[in-house]
Order: sequence, then structure tokens, then C-alpha cells
Amino acid sequence: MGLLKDAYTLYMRDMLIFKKNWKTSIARSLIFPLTLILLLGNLGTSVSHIPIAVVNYASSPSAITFISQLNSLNTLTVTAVTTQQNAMQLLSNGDVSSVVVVPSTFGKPGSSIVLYTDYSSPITSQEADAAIDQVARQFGAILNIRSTGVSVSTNYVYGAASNYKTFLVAGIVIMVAAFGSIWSGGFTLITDRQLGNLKAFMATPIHRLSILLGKIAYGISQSMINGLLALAIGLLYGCSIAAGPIGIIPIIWFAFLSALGFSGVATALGARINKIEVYSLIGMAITLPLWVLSGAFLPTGTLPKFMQPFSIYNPMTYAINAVRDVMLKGVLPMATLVYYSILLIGFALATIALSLVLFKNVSPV
Amino acid sequence: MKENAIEISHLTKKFGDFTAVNDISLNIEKGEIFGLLGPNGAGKSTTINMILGLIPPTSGKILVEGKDVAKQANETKQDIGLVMQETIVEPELTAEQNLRLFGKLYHMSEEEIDKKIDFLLDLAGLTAFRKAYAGTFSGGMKRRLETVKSLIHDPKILVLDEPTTGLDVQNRTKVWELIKKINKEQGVTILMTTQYLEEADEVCNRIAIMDHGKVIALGTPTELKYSISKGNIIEIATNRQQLEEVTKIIKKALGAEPRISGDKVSVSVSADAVKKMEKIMNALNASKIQVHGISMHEPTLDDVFLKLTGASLRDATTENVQSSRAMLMRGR
Repeated sequence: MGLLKDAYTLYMRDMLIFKKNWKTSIARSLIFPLTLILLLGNLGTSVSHIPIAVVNYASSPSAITFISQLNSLNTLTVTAVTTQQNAMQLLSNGDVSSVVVVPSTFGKPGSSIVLYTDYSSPITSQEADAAIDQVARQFGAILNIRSTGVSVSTNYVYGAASNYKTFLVAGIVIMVAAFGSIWSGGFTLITDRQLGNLKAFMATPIHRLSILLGKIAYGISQSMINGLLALAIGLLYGCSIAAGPIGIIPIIWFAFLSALGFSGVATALGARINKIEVYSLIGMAITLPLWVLSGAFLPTGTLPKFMQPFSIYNPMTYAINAVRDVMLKGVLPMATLVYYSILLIGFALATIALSLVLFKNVSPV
Repeated sequence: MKENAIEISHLTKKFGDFTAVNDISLNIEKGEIFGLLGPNGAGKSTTINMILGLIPPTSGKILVEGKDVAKQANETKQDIGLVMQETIVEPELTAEQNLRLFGKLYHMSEEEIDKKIDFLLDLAGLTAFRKAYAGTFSGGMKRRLETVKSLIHDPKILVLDEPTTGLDVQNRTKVWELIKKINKEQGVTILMTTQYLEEADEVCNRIAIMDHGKVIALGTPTELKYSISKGNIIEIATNRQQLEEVTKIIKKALGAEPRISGDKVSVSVSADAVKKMEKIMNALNASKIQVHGISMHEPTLDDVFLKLTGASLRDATTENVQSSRAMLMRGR
């Protein structure tokens, strides 16, 4: 295949240049994840309207008051569920952040409320726990059972080592992988045009699309280097992969799929934009919102309602969710893996097809 | 009749409403050094891009070594080497890597490339810098590397777009020596654009002048020079305020129509140049006009250019801005 051979020649040229400047290139790849993980890794924030489910097995009026009291808090939004099984289903679907089980003995001394929490969203879960605890204590006081008190037992649903750092790193690995393509493959496509290299390449008897394929391959290489460096920083900083070392494989797979999709975006932009300033502007305008909306910093559930559709139709959301499952929960069901992979491959096919079309009439100068 | 390296017939290129190249026909003979001159935006680059097969013509046909660019672009691209206006050797690659990259893009085998690299580095006088990064080279060295890079695949035609722009006199001379050597020793046909008219005059066998997408003059440098004037050109430099007056005096003395450009008044005279010069001097003396200088010279390509296009080749900044704007618009 002459096309692939030419693409490989051009890819190797970009990689030779990368190798020549490897120190600056690696430093550039490091700065971004390093800064974010160090600065944001310890950040806290207040949240509101955390969805929780309440299962009421008690018939006493105090249990009803307890639930309505929970509901009146700004922090929580309560859904009443009849059976514990249904509530747990909601929890594992991610529809609610915690499940509160009110026992039939509620109101009697020594009764204990059972609380299940999804700790993969550290900030919301901690806020929810605190709020429920507070209300439960109040009831302890009213019912005058202070001697024994109402004890809240916490059952972790997912890996106990979950923390916001790991939550954040999972998001950052995917983000730098996705946007590595924007700042390498598409970027050099434009500088090559500005410097006249594109014209020189197009004056040789290579297929025009080999230039595009070379840039896509280069973008993906850069992305993977960025993604792996970000993961390494995260692990050194104390994050863990709940699935163990084997979890690296799905992480790399989803980083690759994100890089593939965004290398299509990058080359589609690069095929039509002549000025590096304009490209940088548009690149920023695309990457920053996608980043925030993908839930890389905070769970998408904490986004305002009108923004939530943007995160549902954001391909990055799925890649980040998958990596988060691997790093925090330690499990990624095959069905989810296949479903997310299909979504991301579909996205990649669409963007690469677009850049192929735009590249057909690409201007040499 | 000589064989043609490039045959252009009724070539037209339109960008929207703008006609960049307007129905030009031109033959470039094998083995000649052909100069394509014209102000910015005249259509030179567009013509060259079509010859290179980078953009398709709106209508018309180009044959390179007898092959149709529209139909056999891969073959015609193998016949052409390109030296661009900007020095585009990759500074982050070594001289050898730069050459090897293009050898591969022209689908040469590793052995062919190895052999060719030795030869070309020697030709450019860069053998000692084989493993040095091109970014460390001087402007002249980069340009020489760029020039031999375009020869890696043994092209029959070399297209040079402003090959000496931005180089000092010494380096320009070296590049020209190299180009002449390539033309003479390897029989490579040269098609070039340049804004140094003296160089075009000295180097080119034939010249075409383009303006507004048309070829407005074609011939050897001598033919072109004598097409505008059978004899000499007299130039009088004076104060700007007096230009009109000087023009009137010369018109009265010679009966010819003088031209004003900058702070000079020039007039072409066909015969008895010395006598006419005397007449002008006497008339100017009588009018007590202050004259800074007066000179007489044979017509140059500059004069041809000025007369045909109404602009000096090097002061076409406005057109430059317009053409790059047009390019940006196309890019949207």
C-alpha cells in the first residue's frame, strides 16, 4: 500500500522532529497534567441537590418527619423507594449518590439507620453523608435516646481507596489524550502549511491523504505519550487503580479511542484553517467546554440541568466514565466496555470521515 | 522546432469571480532557463501551482514532458523538482535526513537515495555538514541544500520560485552558479520567477512578463528591451515640485512623451541619443531648473517592466496585501 507507506514516511518525519526536541516536548506534555493534579487534586467544593434514595421500613410518624426533614435540606433531593433492592439498583446505575435505609425499629433506642454511598464521587458523597448524619442526630435528640444514639453504619459500595485525586486523574488522563491530538497533529498541519512544507509534500507524487494519515498517526502518538505521562504522575501522586495493573489495558484503550476521535477533529480543523492563531482560538473553544462538560473535574450530576445534555452527547464523558470505573470501582462490565467503545469508535469514524472530505480540496498554501 | 519541456495552452484559473490566470498559452523549451516575471498578484504563482499539479485549472491544458498534468499528475510530478520562495528545509532535521525524506516521498529505493545524497551534498558543497542540523546552517547553505533537495529524484525540469529572495549578493551569486551548473551539466530545464531583474537579464534565455493573469510580453531579454525602445533612455532626476515643468521642457525639446516615476523623468530616444541629450541639457539650462542628475543608459528589463505594467516590480505592496487577503478568503 503506497498510501500507508507514504503516510509512514511523513509520520516518521514528525517523530524525528519530536525526537530532536524530546526534552521540550516531554516538558510540555508534563506541565498540564502536573499542574492540574497538584492544584486541583486537593480542592473541595460545596454541592447541592445530591440525589439520594430513602427506603422506609418503619411505620412511625417520626420516620416520616425524618424523611421530610432530609428532603427539606438544600443539600439533598430525596426519592422514596419501596424496596432496598430497587434503591440499590438506582445506586449502581448512578441515579442516586446514596441510599438511606430506615429500619422498622426506627425511633426505638439502639436503632440504626443504614447508609449506602457511592464513594466514586467523593465530594458529593461526603456532603451527603454529613447532611444525613446531622439530621439523624437531631432525631436522636428529639426521641430522647441520646444514651444509645442513632448510629449510622457506612457500607462502601466501591473500592475503599476512592478519593477525589483518583477521580480527577481518571478525567485528566482522557483529556490530555484527547487534546494531545489537537495540539500536535492539527497544529503541525497548519505550521507545515505556513512554512511551505505542505506545498513541497503535495508537489511529490504521494497521495494527498497520506499527509492526513501521517498527521493522525502523529497526533495519536503524542496523545498516548501525554496520557501515559498523566497516568504516571497520578500514580506517583498517590492514586490507585482499583482493577490492579491489568486495568492499564482498558485505560490505554479508552485513551486511544479518545485520541483517535480528536485527531479527526484536529485534522478537520487543520484542513480548513490557515492561521495558527485562529486554530488555537477554535481549539480552545472546543476543548475547554468539552472538558468541563465531560465531568473531568466534577461529577456530571453536579452540572446545572440545562448543561447535562451536553455531557450526555459528549464523547469524552464515556471514555472518562470507563476509566473512572476501572480506577475507582475496579470493575468494567463487558457490556459497558463494548457500548462505550462503540460510541467512541463511532465518534472517531465520523470526525475522520469529515477530515477526509475536507482534506480532498486542501489548499497547499 | 525545438522540443518543449512544458506546453501550456489556453490555461485559465478562476477563484470565484477573480480570474487569476486568464487564457495563457506558453511553451518552455527543453534545456532553457525560462523566467516568469510580473508584479505580485499577476498570476505567476497560480500558473506554477497548476504546472506542479497542486491546484486544478478551471480550463486549458498543461503538458509536462508530453504528459497531461490533469491526467498523469504522478508522472509529471516525478519530472519536476521544486525550489520554493521560503527556505523550507526542516531546521530540526539534518542535511541528510532532509534529503532522505524527499527521496522516500519520490518513492526511491534506499540504495538510490544513499547514492544520490552523496552526490547532492557534494554538488552543494555541504558534504562536511551531512549530519549537521539544517537549523544551524547559514541562509546561503540552507538555500543550497533546498536547491539540491529538489534534484533528489533526477527531475527533468526545475521550478524555482524566487530562488534568491532574502539572500545577500555573495550567496545569490553562489546559488546562481549552482543553478547554471545544474542546467548546463545535467540538462535540466529551469523555470523560475524572480524579482531581481538584473539577474533574470543575465541568467534567463527567455522571459515572459505576466500582468493581470495575462502574458503581456515574451522573448529573449534583448528582444524585450529593444521592443520598448530602439535606442537609449535618458533620465533626469529633479525636485518633485519641478517634475511637471521638466516634463513640459523635454516634450517641447524632443517632441517625445516623457514618463514620470518617483523623482525622475525619463524619455526613450531612438536615434542620435547624444545630440538629444544635449538638446535637453540646453533647454534645462535655459529654464534655470535645478537638476540633481542626468543619465543615459540602454533599456533594462526594469524599463520594460515599468512600461508594460506601469509599476516597478518591487513596489507592489498593495497588490501583495490584496492577494494574501484573497488567499485567506479562499481558505474559509
